[in-house]
Amino acid sequence: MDNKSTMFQEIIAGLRARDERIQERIYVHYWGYLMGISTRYFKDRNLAKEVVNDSFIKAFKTMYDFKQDGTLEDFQKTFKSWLAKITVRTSLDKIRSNKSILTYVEEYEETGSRQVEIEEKLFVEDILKLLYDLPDLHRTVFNLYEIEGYSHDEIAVLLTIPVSSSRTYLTRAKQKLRELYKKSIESN
Amino acid sequence: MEQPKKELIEGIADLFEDYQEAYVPGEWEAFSKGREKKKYPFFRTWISIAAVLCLISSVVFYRLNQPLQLKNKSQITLKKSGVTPFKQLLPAKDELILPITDKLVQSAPGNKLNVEKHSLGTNHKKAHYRADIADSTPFQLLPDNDQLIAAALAKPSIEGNQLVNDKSISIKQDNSLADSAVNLKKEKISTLDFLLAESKNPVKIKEKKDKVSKWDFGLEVAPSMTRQNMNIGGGLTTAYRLSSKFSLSSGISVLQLEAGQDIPISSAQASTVSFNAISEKELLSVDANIKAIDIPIAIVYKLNKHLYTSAGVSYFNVISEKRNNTYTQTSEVFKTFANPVTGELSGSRAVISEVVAETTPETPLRGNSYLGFFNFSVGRRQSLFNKYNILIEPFIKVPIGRLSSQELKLMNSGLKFQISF
Repeated sequence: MDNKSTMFQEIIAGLRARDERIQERIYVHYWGYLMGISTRYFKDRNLAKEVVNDSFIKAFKTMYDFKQDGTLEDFQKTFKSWLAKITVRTSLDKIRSNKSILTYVEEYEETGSRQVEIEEKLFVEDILKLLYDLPDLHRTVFNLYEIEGYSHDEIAVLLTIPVSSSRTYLTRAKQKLRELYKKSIESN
Repeated sequence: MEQPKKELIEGIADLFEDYQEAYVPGEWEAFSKGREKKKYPFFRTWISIAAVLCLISSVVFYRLNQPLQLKNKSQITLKKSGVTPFKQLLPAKDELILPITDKLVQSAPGNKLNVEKHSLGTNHKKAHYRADIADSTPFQLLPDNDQLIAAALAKPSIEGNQLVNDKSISIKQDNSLADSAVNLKKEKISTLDFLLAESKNPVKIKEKKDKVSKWDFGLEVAPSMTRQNMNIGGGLTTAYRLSSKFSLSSGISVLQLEAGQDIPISSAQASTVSFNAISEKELLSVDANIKAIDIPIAIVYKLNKHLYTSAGVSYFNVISEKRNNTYTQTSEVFKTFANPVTGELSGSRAVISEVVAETTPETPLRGNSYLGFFNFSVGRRQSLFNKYNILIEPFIKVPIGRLSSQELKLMNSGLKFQISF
C-alpha cells in the first residue's frame, strides 16, 4: 500500500472518528490544489489565499458528515471535487461581495472565432497571465464552463446573469484568450 | 510519431484540470492562528468590554460597601481582642486564664507566663480529652470552660512570637496535642464567632433597613407615539415610598409632541362646493409641533418584586408651539378657448379645488397650563448592583379637560426607560 492510500485511509478514519487532528493533513494535502483553483479567479494572491482558507473553514465544519461508501479511489475523487466545489463557490461569493468586480465588462471587437492550436508546451504561469488580462466576468465564466465544467444554466444561476450572457461572455473570453496567446507567441 | 496539436482552450482546460501548487510551509500554522481569530472575532472586544464592566462594577461595589466594611472592621477588632464576651460565661477561677490575649502577653509577659505555667499542667490532659470529644462531636456549638481554657492557652503559644521559644510552653513540643488544640480552638472560636455574628445580625439588618432612604431619584427617557408621529421626552423623576406596596412618584420632563387631527368635512359643507362658491377655504387637518413641560404625579402600586403599575395625572405647560393647517381651497375660474374651425371664442366656468398647507401664527396652547393627561403605566424594575434600578415602563397618556377639546389628538403612548438611584 503506497503512502497516498495510507493517508486517505487515515483521513477516512479521522473523519469517521471526528478527529480534529485530521484537519492538518487535509489542509496540507489539498492546499495547493485549492490554491490552483482560486488563483484562476483572483489575480491578488492574498485574496486567493483568503478564499482557500475560508473554503477550508467551511469544509472542516461539515466534512465529518462526508459519506464514504465506495472504494478508496472513489473517496479521493469525490472528496477532492467536493473541496473544489466549495472553493469555487467561495470564490464566487468573494467576487459577489466585491460587487464592482463584475459590474464592468470591457468590450472588445469580435474578430471571428478561429481555433488556435498550441505551438509550445503551455505553462500555468503564462496562461494565468493571459487569464488575468480578461475582464473579470469573462474570466469567471470561462473558468466555470471550460475548467470547472458547469453548464451555462448553472453559471447563469451562480452569477445571476442571463444564460445568453453566459454564452456571450464565454465566446468573448475564448476569443480574447486566443488573441492574447497568438500575441504572446509572436512576441516570443 | 508526432502527437496532434491541441486547440488552445482544450489545452488550457487540461492544464488546469489537476493543477495544484506546491504547499508552502507555514500555511497551516498561519491558518490555525487566523482561524482562532475568526472563530471568535468579537472575543477580544467582548473580553475588553467585560473587563471594563468588571472594573466599573467592582469600583461601584467597593464605593457602595465602604461604610459597611468599616463596620465589619470594628467587629473584627472586637472579635480579636476578645474572647471577652465568653468571659462572662465562665466561673471566677477561669477568669484568670481567659483574658490571655496577644495584647496582654505583650504588655505583661512575666505575669502571663506564670499564669500559663500554672494552668498548663492540666491543659495537656484537657486538650487531649477535648480533642477526643471534638472528634466524636465535631459540631458542638457551645464551648465549655475547658475548651476555652485550651483555646486561650493554645493561641499565644502558637501565634504569639514572644512565647514560641519559651520553655514553659510545652504545647509546641507535643505536635499532635498542639495541632488538635489549635484545630479545636479554630473550630470552636469560628463557631462562636459565627454565633456572635448571628446574634448581632438582626440588629445590623434592622439598622440597615432603617437607613434605607424612602426617596428614589432617577432619570428617564420616554420615546412615544402619537397618532402619526414619533416623539421624545426626557427628564428627572422622584418617588417617595409610602408603604411596602405603595409609593408616590413625580418628576419633571420635557416633551416634544407632534400631533395632528383630520377635520371631517360634513356632507352639508361638501355639497356647498359648487359654482356658487367663488372662493372657499375648508380646513382639512391641523398638525402641531409642541414642546412642553410635563409634571406628573402618580400612585405606584408594587405588584411584586419586579412589576409595578401606576396611575396618575400630569400638569402640562406648553412652552412652544408650531401649527400647520391644511386646507382645501375651492375657487372658480373662467376658461376661454377658440374654435379651431370658425375662430370663434367661447368660454366656460370651472371650479378648481386644491389642497394648501399653511403655517398659522395661531398658537392657542402656548403659554397655557393644563391639568393635561391621565397617565397609566405598567413597568418592570430590575436591580443593578443593588443600588441602581433600571425601569422599563410602557405607558399611555390620555389628554383630559381643555386639552382633550383641542383640535389635536394628543393621546400618546410609548416606552419609558428610567434609571433610578
